Amino acid sequence: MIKRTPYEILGLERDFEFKDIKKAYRKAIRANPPEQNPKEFAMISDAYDMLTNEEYFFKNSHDLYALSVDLTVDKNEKIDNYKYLKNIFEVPFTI
Amino acid sequence: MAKRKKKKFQKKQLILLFENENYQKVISKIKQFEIEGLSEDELDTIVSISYINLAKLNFKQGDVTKAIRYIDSLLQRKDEAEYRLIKLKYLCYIEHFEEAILLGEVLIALKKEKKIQKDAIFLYLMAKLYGGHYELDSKLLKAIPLSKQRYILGFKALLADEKSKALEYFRQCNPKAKVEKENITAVIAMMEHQEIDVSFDIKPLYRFLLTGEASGISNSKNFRVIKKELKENFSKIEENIDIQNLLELKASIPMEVILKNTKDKEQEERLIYNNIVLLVDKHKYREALKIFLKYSNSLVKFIESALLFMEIKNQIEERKSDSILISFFSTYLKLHRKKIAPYQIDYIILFLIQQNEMKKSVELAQEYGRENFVFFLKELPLISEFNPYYQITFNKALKRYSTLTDILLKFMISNIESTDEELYDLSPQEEKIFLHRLSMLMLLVQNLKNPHRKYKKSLFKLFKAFALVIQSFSYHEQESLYLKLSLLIEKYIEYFKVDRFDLAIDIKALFVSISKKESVKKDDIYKDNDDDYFDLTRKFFLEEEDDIYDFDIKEYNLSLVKQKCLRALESGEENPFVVLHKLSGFKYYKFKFSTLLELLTEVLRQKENHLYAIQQMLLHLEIDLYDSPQRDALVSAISKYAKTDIETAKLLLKYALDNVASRSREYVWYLKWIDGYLTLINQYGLEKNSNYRYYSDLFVTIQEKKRFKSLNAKYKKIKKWKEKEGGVLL
Repeated sequence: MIKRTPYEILGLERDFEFKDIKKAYRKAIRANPPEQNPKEFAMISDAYDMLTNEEYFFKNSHDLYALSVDLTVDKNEKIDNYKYLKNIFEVPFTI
Repeated sequence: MAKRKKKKFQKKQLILLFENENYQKVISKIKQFEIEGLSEDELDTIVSISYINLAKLNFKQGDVTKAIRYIDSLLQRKDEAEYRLIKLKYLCYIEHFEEAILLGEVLIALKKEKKIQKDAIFLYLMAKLYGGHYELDSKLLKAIPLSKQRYILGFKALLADEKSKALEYFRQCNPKAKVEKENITAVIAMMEHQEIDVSFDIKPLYRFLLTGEASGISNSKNFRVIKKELKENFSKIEENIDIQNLLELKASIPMEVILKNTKDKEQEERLIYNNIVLLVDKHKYREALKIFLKYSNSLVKFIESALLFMEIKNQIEERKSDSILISFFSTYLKLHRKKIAPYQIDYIILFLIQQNEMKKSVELAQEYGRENFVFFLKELPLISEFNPYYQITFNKALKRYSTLTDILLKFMISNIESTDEELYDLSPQEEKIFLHRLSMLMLLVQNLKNPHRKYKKSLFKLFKAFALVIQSFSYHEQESLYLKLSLLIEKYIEYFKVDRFDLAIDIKALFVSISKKESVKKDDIYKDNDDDYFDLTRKFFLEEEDDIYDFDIKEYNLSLVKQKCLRALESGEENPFVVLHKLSGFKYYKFKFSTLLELLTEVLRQKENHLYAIQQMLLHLEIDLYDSPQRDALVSAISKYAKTDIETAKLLLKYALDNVASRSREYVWYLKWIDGYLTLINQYGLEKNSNYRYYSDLFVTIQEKKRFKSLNAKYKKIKKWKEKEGGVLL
């Protein structure tokens, strides 16, 4: 299963240091207490373990992580193909 | 010159071609031959139908020019309004509007053919619109059906870019035929960007504009231009769908789509990274590696890239990319050192070691202060003298549990095991150094202070390796090493509370060696002797560990369990027989019964309830007395044990005899048990009491009923004794 990267889950920006991980973890769990957001809380805890717990890391080192990408595409982009009706002869009737 | 006479062709053959819809050939035969027996009317019908069908077929396939040629050929033979209308339609489709308008005017003038006239008006008005004449003749317009009137008005609005007005007309356009309705729906869907299920029957142009599928479209110049333009539009939509799938981590996509659709470098690199992740997820490792290597210089900036690279490399056998390993991870560590935990560095170094980059790995370990690597991989293998630094470092490493230290211990173990295989190649001097190092390592382990309990498994694997290698040396020459190791293992058996039964065979073999004062390891287990096929086969099966040693491990395990059970009995433990379950899988029934008998003797000595004890022992040993191989082994084990303790032996056999249900007694094996019991009494001169008399009677009764041939002699003997003693039959 592809997961969200633990760094992004903890909200760690590009320039951080190892010591910042704990602060980021605390901040993240304060924002997502277990009783209010159990799923997110579990994810944050796993992310923290991955980055700070040796045994957890060795056990889960084969996990795959995806990066977030700031890009939106219009999957349903519309093209006005009907305008081509003007150029090529066609009628809806059977003649 | 006389006119050359046409060859003849059979009517029957022509009809066959016609029925098989091979119209091209029909026309060709008619042109070339004189058809025998075919009337003028028949010829006319066949030619007309063939031309019409050929024209329709070509029109359907998009070759309208060819379709017109067939209609012209037909018109030369038969100038009818019906065929002219078809020509008018085809002229419109190849966009020859001026010609179409002229032909339309001719057809409109034919007042007798109302249906043809109406269709001609519709095509004529449409041709005028397409031809750029937007003024509609209202009189003509009113002459055609309402649905067509509305379509023409709608189309006129469309040409004037009045989309909503056009839509309004098209919605009002309500043709009766189902396929015509579907065509109108397709036009409306196209204009409103709605998705519809495209029917097979709708006009090819509509299908093309909705889906991009171009079959059956007239091959006009306009179409060729539009087709190119639309292809780009459709591929743009497909690319957007691809990118969206990648963003949603649904599927990997072609790299060129990523490169074409991203303007921002960061976005592009992230998409490439995720694309690789998706390929790995789908086990497409080679493709993933190829892309990773191509973009490794950019991807290294992502902190996640190390794990991804290692995962790909771990999954495939590939050596080409090894050349970039060190440079990639050196750059990675330089970039991310401050962000990652020390164990992440260890993980990278371990990976590099596994990729045969030992020298560079140790250098990296030194550079990043990973002392354990340096200690375990560089210093310990070269240890020559005991020095407090080694002990302090070793103690420190094993005090706190770390997965890395555990792995490094395993490296050490595998080094020792592989040296065992190479011992025959060592010179006496090298052998001496090796033994000295082994002794140093043992000393380090012996002096360990409270190693973490999680190292139990690895430490015992280390002892197993020590035991394996030591037994390759003569006991007499290396007695002190044997004893040192034995003491070391005993210390940790006590420390970790290990059950001796669970020890590895190599360690058990070491203990046997010490008790026998000689190595029990078989000679030459690794020695190369390519000429000896059987020796090679034996090497192949060395996985069967007990093949390495010259002692019976099963017997050894039995004695361990027996000793434990005896100690439990002596100390009055509540469930002394529970430990016997460790022998439950053994097939050596002879040993199992002898163990049971020995324990039963102890039970009797302690005046415990022997019936309950037998039940418990049978239960934990998983002995089924009435199972074929086990019931045979019972008598043999009892006869043997009787030499040591006849009372115990007799007691167990009586227990077995009494516990067979009456209905299960009429078998040879049961009579053999009785015979075994009677023989024991006779052999050891015991009193022939009521039990003896009872079993004799039982033997006679069953044998007289079943008449087993093999037991006839025994029967006669017992019968004789009974007659002599005056015994009473049951």
